[in-house]
Amino acid sequence: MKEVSEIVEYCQGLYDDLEFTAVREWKDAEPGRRVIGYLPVYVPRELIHAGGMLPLGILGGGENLEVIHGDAYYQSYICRIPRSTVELAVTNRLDFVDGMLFPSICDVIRNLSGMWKLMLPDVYVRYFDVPQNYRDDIGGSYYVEELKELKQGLEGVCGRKIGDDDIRRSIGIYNDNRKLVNAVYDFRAKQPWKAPSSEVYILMRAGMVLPVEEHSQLIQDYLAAAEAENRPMRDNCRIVVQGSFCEQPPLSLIKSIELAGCYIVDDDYMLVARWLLEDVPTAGDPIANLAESFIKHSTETAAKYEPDGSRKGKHLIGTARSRAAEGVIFAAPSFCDPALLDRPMLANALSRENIPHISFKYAENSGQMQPIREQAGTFADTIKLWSEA
Amino acid sequence: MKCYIGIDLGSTTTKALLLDENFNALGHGITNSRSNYETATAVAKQEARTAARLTLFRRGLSGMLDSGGLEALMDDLESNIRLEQFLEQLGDLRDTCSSYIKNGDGGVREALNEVFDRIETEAPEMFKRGARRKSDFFRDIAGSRVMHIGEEVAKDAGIGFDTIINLYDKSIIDVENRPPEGGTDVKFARAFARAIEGAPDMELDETKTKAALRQAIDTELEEAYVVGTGYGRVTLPFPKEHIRSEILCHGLGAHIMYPNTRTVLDIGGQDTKAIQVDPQGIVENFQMNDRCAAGCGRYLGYIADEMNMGLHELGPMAMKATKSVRINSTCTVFAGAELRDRLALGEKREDILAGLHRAIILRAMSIISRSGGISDQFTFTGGVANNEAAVKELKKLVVENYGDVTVNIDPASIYTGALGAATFARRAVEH
Ligand code: SF4
Repeated sequence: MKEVSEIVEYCQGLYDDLEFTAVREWKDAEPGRRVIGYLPVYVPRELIHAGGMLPLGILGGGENLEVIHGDAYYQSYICRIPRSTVELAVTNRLDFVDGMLFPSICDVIRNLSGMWKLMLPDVYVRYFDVPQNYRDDIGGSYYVEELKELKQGLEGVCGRKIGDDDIRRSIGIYNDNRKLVNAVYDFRAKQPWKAPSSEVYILMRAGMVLPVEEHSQLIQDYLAAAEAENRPMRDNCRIVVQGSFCEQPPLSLIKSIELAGCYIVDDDYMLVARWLLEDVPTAGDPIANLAESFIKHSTETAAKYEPDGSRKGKHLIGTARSRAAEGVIFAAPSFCDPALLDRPMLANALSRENIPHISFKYAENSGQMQPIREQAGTFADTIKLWSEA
Repeated sequence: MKCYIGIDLGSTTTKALLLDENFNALGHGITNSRSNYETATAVAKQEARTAARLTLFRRGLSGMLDSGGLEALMDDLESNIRLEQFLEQLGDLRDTCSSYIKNGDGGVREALNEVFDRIETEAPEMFKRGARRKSDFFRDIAGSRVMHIGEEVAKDAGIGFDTIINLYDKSIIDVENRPPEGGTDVKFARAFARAIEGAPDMELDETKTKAALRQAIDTELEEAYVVGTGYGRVTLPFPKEHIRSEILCHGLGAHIMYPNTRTVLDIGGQDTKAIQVDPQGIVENFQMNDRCAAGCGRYLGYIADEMNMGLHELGPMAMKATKSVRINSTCTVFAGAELRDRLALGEKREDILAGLHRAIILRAMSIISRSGGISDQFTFTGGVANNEAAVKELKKLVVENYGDVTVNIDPASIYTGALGAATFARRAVEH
């Protein structure tokens, strides 16, 4: 059996590697292999996989990428992920990527898709425009068309038809992966001292660059190893992190939250892996099934319009309850419109339910953890004081 | 003779430069900006005029001494003029301080005189040729000596050190806001006498030398036109048509220094500018730091204060680094906190400093990219251009991103804006 430290070290290596060596090696292993990059927050990776291609999750450049040219592409009052993503491109770190999907999450990402077309005219670029209307006959049928167009585009990249059976098989494989991802979250929620969030985080990040089958195996290895390892339980409070679904916090921030006395028992870091809340049926029309799952069984997030104000926050409250969380930390990227506009509504919903919450902002390259430790630590202490009172 | 003067009023220092009719720089001067732009301008200008007279004197001496002897004499003369100016201001400070002493406070008066006597005695040593001073500004030198000597004297005299500090604090502002008296003639003569005294073995034809000195002093330096620029330019004591934007002046100044310059980077106290100029030195495009002064010179100032070091000591220390600690924030306000954080994590001072320098330069690189990148000769100016660690990082990054372009750095690059302004002044008269 593998040790936790071994798995963590492997994941850390993948996380730190801004050259994407593992993906390059995968691509070079067989002629004709293709890589499709995608940005947060959700794309149907099943379709890419069904075409025999590798979906590559690109979550910006992180804390270690020095941005020199990326700033020139954007005004200063927006988040950092598009700048560092441009930097990755102009420094040729993504030169092996054959196609890029930009989900409709905000204007920044939409503009990025346009820039990509101008910068890299040879790369297949698609602005993946998901519906904001969730009625079967409107958003549903629109989304089916969007998926069909995407499939066509992907066929152009991989050079062959993507058959229904291929998609069904991929759906099954991603269903398995999703179950395993959820199993890690369940495990952590139950015994957070055995699965520190910094470990869980890089384990999930590995899923952004590894073939899904390998990632599923890695998760199984981790679960077995983490279960077997004895680690001291600490007197931490339990919190849910919300708002970090696009630009990612630096790993040190996740560590700081835990060090300050908060166990993270749920989060929205890499939603793509947990976007769909149920298995996608493997029988029947696979495109229709993917669409149906999206429309009926997808998670709640800022990038998704909720017309019924009274329902806003239901999912978050549900998560907090089911995870027995004592509070919510809103941690959003600076200048992130979706997350920051969502926050007051969610915060109100939490307040109505008497769930304590705090909020702060970060950038993927934030270097000062002292204020984070201070705030998270205070939050942990007050939660304890309240519960004693 | 007609002179054209450029004044660059920066947030930290004020620079003046005198140009003759042939576009040759006659002299420049620098002083701390205080919060009184008018005085700062007057002081910088006077320094520049003094330097100009030295240049004239040097010209007059040409052929009379071998170059080594000439350099030595000029150095001595300059140091001695500085000494004269220092003594003059010190006298002013002494008088001002004693004017604040309440009658009957005999003990304090005595102690104060003792302090000033001692500074006066040690002054020639401070201004000896080759002596290293942390700063040439009166406030800095006098301040540190009063602190040092004042403490001893106060202790011996059994009076509170605070009393002396209070007197100093009150008076220094008055003194700084009073530009030193003219009296060039007397100062030059005294300085010259001292310089000669210090070099008895110099073979000089005294009559000729004196004549050259006389001429340097007597030449009228007529201010034909003055152009002002800089951070404080709206409050420059000049009419509007005598004011040019800082960016224009920097672009032109860099062009005059290095005619093939196409891109200029200036990192000053409160801003960082990347400027693209055409073959005539006219600005084509530019970018400045936005949001705040993160990553500008002032940031290094805070770091120096925080580390209890002189600003000019930061670069050399960073050069000793064996690795560079990654610093992502260049926020001036948080600089101290970040620094303490890293120190607490066990990082070495020099490695942190190397990281800080890299952070500043990375921001500058990004501003350069925004302004259009680097295509040909590249000129780096501003106070930070004197910092070797910053220069090292910059050169490395320029090569990595733009290939092997020429990087120009003039030791007098701090006067680039003033040079541009003086050139505008010269051109204004021409047209
Ligand atoms: S961090 Fe927020 S604002 Fe920035 S690209 Fe992502 S969703 Fe858009």
